Amino acid sequence: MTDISKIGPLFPELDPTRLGQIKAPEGSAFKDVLGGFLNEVNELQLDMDETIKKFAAGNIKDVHEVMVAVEEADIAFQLMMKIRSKLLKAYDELMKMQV
Amino acid sequence: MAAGAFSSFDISASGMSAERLRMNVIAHNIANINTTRSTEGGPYQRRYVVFEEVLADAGRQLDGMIRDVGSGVRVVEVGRDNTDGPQRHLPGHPDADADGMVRMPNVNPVMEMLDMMSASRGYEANVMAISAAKQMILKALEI
Repeated sequence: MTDISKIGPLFPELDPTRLGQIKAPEGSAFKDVLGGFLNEVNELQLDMDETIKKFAAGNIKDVHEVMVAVEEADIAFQLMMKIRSKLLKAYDELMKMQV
Repeated sequence: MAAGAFSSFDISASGMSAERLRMNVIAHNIANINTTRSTEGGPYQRRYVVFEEVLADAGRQLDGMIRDVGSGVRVVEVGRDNTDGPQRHLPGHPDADADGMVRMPNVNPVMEMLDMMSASRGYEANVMAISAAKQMILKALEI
């Protein structure tokens, strides 16, 4: 007759005695990615400001340089607003969830 | 993101800068259409611009963008056309020779007008390329 063997946990990672050992997933966190993206958008805005200042001071000969800087900043800003509204939509959906 | 998404803007902007410089050279040619004294002596010589393509440098090659796509155009040289201009009989002119002939600049107004049209159309084409690229990016934002 064999001994009764111990039944192991179904999900070893959910073992309550080992909860303290669970680590956050590696790689960059979502907020870091979003922060980096916001920084890039902001940099384009600052570039645009700088270009406009230079143009006003007469240090830029090509008008199209200014327009390109403005367009780049504008498109980056629009992209950022799109991402913001997608995030808010996701947050709203979570808030509406029935508990 | 900035360098990748907007690289077509920079390419077209280089084309616009080149066309603008070409326009300056044409304006200079037209302004000097009757100049008989250039800085080197002798009549004014027609200027022309030489363009050169620019390939994407290694640092700016992004995800699979191959070098041959290039990154625009630049002006390498403003040359002088040293063919002789027409001679005019102007005996009273201070630059006339013993026979009363004055060597005029080799600027041909018809050619300059044609070049001017080509430069301004070229500039417009670059503007169109930029707005098409912008429309493409904005379309992507509609997804």
